[in-house]
Amino acid sequence: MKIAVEYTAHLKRATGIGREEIEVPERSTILQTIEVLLARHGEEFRTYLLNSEGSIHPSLVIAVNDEQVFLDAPTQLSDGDTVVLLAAIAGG
Amino acid sequence: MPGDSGLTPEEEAIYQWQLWLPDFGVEGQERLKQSSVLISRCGGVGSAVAYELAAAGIGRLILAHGGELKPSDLNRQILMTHDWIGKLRIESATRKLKELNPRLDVVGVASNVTEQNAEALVSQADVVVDCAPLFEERFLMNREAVLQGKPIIECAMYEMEAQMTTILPGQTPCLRCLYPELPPSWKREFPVLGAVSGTVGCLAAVEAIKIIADLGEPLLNRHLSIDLKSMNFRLVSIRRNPNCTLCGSL
Repeated sequence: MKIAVEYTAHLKRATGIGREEIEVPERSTILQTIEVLLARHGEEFRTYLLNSEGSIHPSLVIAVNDEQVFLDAPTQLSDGDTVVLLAAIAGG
Repeated sequence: MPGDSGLTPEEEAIYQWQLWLPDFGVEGQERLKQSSVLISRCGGVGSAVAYELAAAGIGRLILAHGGELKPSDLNRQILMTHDWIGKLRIESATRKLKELNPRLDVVGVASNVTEQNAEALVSQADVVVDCAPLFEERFLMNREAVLQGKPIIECAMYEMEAQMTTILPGQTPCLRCLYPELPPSWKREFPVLGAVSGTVGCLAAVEAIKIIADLGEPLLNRHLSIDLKSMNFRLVSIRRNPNCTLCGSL
């Protein structure tokens, strides 16, 4: 199925793009989708997404169709969903 | 009738067009006059917040910002002037705000928010606007706002993007709900276009006015992210973290 992924702030810088459409298997979860993204993008992207233990950093806010999702409640994606990775920024 | 409100004739004249705002009026203006807002840092974002709140007739601003003005501040810190390079930022901010609104009470603190002063600073305010460029400072502000039950507006920018949400402790996610740990790889220095800082600063000023005057719908349980390069605006529904170490028990 096809989903859209949008990146913000330094995630956009790390991937070089603001938005992309990717193919993921039917019934993919957010975690599985992030695995696909990690394989697509380089080391800088990985450092922003994962903590020192290799888990998704808890301070990455993830939204599906403009609703925040939490990884402890596995969210299955549907064809046409939009996933947004909201990087934390503090520029003042 | 003119003079029947708690506003002086001068204030009625100055805020005349603002009093015409539906659901705002004299009562809203009086609320602004009676309110205090703490702004953490008067940088690119905070300057705009302070300036717009001063223009709108806020009664008191408490400004916390240490250090001296540098040349690289001048692309965005609109309360500063070129002749103030090397001097305390807080003095320029106070001066410029009083030029705009001589009735404004400005409490200028020549220090950033720290563990030593955070509690006292937040205690003086009805609303907090967090414009600090470091998460450590933002977490301090958030902690005190939550502990003291004060609304806090989190507003930030990076390159040509900005984000904002409004926190009502116990009712919305706090900053620790969103960011349980220090976000990775945030750097103190970052690309910045002043008009982007000004944009989110103005949005934050509007939020503060809305909270104080009970006007419209503040950005509660919603996270606004804007990309001014593409003019893409996105609202994401956000939720409290029931396991939040700070506000989970509220």
